[in-house]
Amino acid sequence: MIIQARGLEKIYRRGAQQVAALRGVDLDLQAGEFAVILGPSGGGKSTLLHVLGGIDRPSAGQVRVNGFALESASESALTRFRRDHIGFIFQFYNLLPSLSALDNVLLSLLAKGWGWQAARQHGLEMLAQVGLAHRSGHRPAELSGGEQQRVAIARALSVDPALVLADEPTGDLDSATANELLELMADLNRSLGKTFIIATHNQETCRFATSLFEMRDGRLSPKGMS
Amino acid sequence: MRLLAALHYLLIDLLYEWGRSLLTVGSLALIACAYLLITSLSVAFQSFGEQAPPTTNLLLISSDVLDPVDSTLTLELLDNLRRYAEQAYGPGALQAAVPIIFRHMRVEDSVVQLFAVPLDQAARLKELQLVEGRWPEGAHQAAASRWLAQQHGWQIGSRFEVYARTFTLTGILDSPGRKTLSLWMPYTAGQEMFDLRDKFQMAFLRMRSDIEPQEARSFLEQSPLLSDQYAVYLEEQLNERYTQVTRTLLALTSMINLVALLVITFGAYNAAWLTLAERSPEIALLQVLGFSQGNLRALLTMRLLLLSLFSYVAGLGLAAWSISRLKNASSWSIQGVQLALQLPLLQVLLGVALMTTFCLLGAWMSGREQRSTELAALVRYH
Ligand SMILES: Nc1ncnc2c1ncn2[C@@H]1O[C@H](COP(=O)(O)OP(=O)(O)O)[C@@H](O)[C@H]1O
Ligand SMILES: [Mg+2]
Repeated sequence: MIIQARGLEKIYRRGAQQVAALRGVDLDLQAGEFAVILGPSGGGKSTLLHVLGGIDRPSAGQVRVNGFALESASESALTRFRRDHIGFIFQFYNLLPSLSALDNVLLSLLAKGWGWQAARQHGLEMLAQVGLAHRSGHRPAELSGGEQQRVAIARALSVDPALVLADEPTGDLDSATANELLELMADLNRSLGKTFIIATHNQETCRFATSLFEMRDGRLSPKGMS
Repeated sequence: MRLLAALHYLLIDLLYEWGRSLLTVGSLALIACAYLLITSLSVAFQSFGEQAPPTTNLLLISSDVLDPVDSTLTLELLDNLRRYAEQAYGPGALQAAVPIIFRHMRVEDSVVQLFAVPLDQAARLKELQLVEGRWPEGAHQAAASRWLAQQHGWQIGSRFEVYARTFTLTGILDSPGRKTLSLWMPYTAGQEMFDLRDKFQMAFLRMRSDIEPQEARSFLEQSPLLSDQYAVYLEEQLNERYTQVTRTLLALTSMINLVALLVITFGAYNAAWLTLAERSPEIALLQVLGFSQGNLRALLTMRLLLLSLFSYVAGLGLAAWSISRLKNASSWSIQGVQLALQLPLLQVLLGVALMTTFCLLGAWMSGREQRSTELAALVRYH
């Protein structure tokens, strides 16, 4: 079991108001799955991914990811956890605009303490895996939206994480490009055996799912595969 | 992250933001240049303020002038003073009264103090020492202070123009104490050159040694001959006042220096902070990728250091260039005392050390601010 979450709650305070973004979420996920969480905007998908990825802490409940108890971890332990176990892909702003595609991939490796030469070598291989070997020297502004997301995927996978969390990875792409990207992720999931969790409101994504969830009003429920 | 990789990325990033980097480095370089020039000036003042040896000489001069050049005395006044002193203290009370013709002159692009004096008497009073050659004679010979000769590469027998007249150098003098640019010639040569009968600017007076210098001074000052038209100073007192002024200047320049360094660091800090604020999504991204607060603070510190050091080095270049220009264009002197502008290595390094300290302090302070930002909130506004 790579993820075990029990009774996760997350309450945001907005002035006097309270917003419950997670209301008792339970989740068990096997390693190697390609899990898709569908749901309307505001349903709590991002919040759940942030909690699972050690970016945010739950207000209540327990969560274990790859054997790591996140609810009680210190700030610096969470940072190390993210570095060593998680690959993130966001909708926008995945890349530093000043750096080339390759350098953006290298950031994760360097944070992990890789040497320069080895990191470069490995970074180039990762870019080749997502089909971008020929654009390694280009800055994000010189890449299309789909290419930018491929770089983000290369970076997320470069550190060999236990879990890849993708929050609306295709939200900003046209449907053809979105499909290509989903196919790439599904391929990598199969060939590398990496666990993926994709949060999206794009119905198309279901086609690739090995397990499917719906998230609505802070509640997560398994959804039958169709 | 490895140091070199961090440097590599910081440089890329500074180049990417080249507009702001240039603006920051440019403006801070100007301040660094000002710092170095002030330092150089204060170092020059330090040597300028070296004490002249104590003397018991009295200096007679018009009382209402700012520059001794505007003072006017007559031989008749000296004669009267001598008689006045003898009435009170007996014969020989005024041992010496040496007239001095004094000018600031431009000689081969230096401003030089020109003294025309009865050289045999002056040498005794001023403790001038001939280190080379012999005393000048006649209307076309002069002796130069060691500093002046060095500055122009003059040797015994060198010729130069003063007031449209050619002079030959017959001697080089050492006057202990200050590094003056001075030129000495016989009194008669000065009289002739400036067409003066019995007028001159100052006089050295020396009373008999059994009369206290202070007493002698007040005795002479109270003389009706001088009334409030002329003043008598102890040469030592003048020097003392000079040193005081120099000390005050030094204290002032070191304060200005400290402020300049703080401004540089603050400017770099401000630029780095602006960048941080604008780029909070990027910084959040780095945190998500597993860069620790410590890593990020180290990066910020290095960024600060890089900006400051670039500014400092650019400022150093600018200052060195300015100083060489100033040296070529004219020699800086105050009343004929040479200001030797230079950038001593020690001061340059001191600036680097202080600035580094300030940078570390600044980064430490901003590190505490960073910690309080909420990562999840930052990531959400991607
Ligand atoms: N920092 C925050 N402060 C207050 N409310 C928040 C904050 N972040 C998220 N929310 C609220 O939590 C709920 C879930 O948001 P989110 O997890 O972003 O949903 P989704 O990703 O499914 O669109 C929303 O109602 C949102 O407005
Ligand atoms: Mg969302």
